[in-house]
Amino acid sequence: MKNISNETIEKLASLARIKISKEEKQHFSREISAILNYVDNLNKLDTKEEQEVKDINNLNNIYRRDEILGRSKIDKDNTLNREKILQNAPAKQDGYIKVKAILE
Amino acid sequence: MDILKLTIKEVSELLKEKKISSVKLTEEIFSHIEKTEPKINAFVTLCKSEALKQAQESDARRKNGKIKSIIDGVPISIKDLFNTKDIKTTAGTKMLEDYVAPYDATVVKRLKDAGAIIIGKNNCDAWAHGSSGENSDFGVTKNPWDIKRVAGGSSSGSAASVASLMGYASIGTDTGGSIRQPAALCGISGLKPTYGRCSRYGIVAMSSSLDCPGPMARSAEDLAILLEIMCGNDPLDSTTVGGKAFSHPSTILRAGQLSIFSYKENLKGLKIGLPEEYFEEGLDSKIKEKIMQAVKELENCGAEIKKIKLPYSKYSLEVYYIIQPAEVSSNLARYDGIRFGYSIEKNKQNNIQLEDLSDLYKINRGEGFGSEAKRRIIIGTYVLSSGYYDAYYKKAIKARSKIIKDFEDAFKQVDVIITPTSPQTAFKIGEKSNNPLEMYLSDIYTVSANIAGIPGVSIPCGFINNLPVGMQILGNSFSEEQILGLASFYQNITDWHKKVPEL
Repeated sequence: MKNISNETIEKLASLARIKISKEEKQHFSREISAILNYVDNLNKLDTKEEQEVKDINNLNNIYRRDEILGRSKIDKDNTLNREKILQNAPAKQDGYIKVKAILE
Repeated sequence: MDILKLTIKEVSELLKEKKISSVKLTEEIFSHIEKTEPKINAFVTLCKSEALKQAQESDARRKNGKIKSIIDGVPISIKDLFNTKDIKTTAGTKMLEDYVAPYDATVVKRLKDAGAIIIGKNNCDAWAHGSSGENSDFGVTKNPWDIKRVAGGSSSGSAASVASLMGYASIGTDTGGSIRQPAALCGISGLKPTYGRCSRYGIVAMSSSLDCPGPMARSAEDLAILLEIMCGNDPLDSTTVGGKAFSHPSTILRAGQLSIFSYKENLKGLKIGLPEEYFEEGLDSKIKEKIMQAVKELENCGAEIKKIKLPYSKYSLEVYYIIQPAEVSSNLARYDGIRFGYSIEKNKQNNIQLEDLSDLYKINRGEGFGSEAKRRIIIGTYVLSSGYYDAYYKKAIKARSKIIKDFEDAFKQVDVIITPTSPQTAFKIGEKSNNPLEMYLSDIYTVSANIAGIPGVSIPCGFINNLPVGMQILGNSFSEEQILGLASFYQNITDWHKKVPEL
């Protein structure tokens, strides 16, 4: 019976950059333990000889020209201009998105 | 009211014969929405003025003999998971409640270029995480057949709006059954195309190796019409596979029926597989009865019914609930409130002291995400973390190849596979919302198609206590013509798909 502890939940939330409350820690610990117990069923399956599925339609090396698509016929109406890109940002200045400093 | 019940095919005939204008049609739809939407909550955003403008343009095109396609002038809606230029796109989540899309998703653009009238954005489970519609941050969408019950999910609003005649179709997404299951619970037709058939560009990503955009409408023929417009290679999505979905563009319009190769009058030569694992003890006997009744009707028309085995399909849910949260945890990492989305910085009054950028991320994401999203992100982070990666994620992607092989082998013996779509009819609101694992079991018949990448359609095949029952038809990769052809054939000999709820 797998038990994902409150501490593990705390650590995972921190890795995922999500702040969770004490109550959340407790019910997540319960619910996630139950879910992981369920998926543990997979251990009954022998997969030693199997290939890892990394893509579905066996597509390889799909490339396109390294150019802004708005300049080609394909997507003329759909290019993003600076104004549109910035319209959803909460903190901006002089046409840039403002973020907290990460270097001294 | 009757004009609202029509299929896309039928209403486009009326438009063609100038018996109604697109503007009048759009006005009728909005008038109906005004009365009906307060009971259903199928929309997050309604776009009346934009829609009327598009309708005017459509009528002008028609006057000049320049219509763009069979859906020119036909009002449809879009699940709020798709970016729609200059229109709020919320993905059903508080995290994006103010987000105005700066661009159109590729499939949205294709539908607009074909002249479709976009009437609004449909409510859905937040981030498409859900099988009932109860995870939406904008209230639950009610099932038009019984407003105390769920519409299914995650394309809840899409299914409910089409079922209650608020639009002729909706475009949804299907990652583990999110088109097919709500279609089944609301009594409409819904198609999950082959993975790679339609572009995922511009869709709020859930699980990138499983997500499929697809049409939801009132007939298989309408699904074919929409698929043909939506599908095809997209340079902006390198997982798309090129080409049209149907062997001949006019296939769908021939004699008012989808012709599936030689299956016009009867189904002689068609082999239908019934996988024993999908009809085991756990299946509700009343649902089994409806599916078997439908299968018998197809058999009476000449189809051969074969019992088949899909032995590894019993691991589908486990494989799904490892791969999907893992991919979700990756896709949702971009929501940090810096470029878009919820941020405490939007509220300039707050005085929270932040240590650093990491703190900002934690608070934005902690407050912006709901419980289900956090749950899935945490599970995903766990199964991908070092020490657990091999036991979970690697194991799941190896098991995935066994499920893929199951279907490859099955399609050597049969042409299509029929199963129930959902293990239950629409359940009551609140019945499962406290137990995530129980909710996940709703996907039991649908997830395997996403794992294998194959297409599947759900169509109505009966009612239990006035609640719709859906039958699922699965086909090999890129066989939409065949499964939609069979679905259309069934809809020519039955009329379950024509039933409309009383509201």
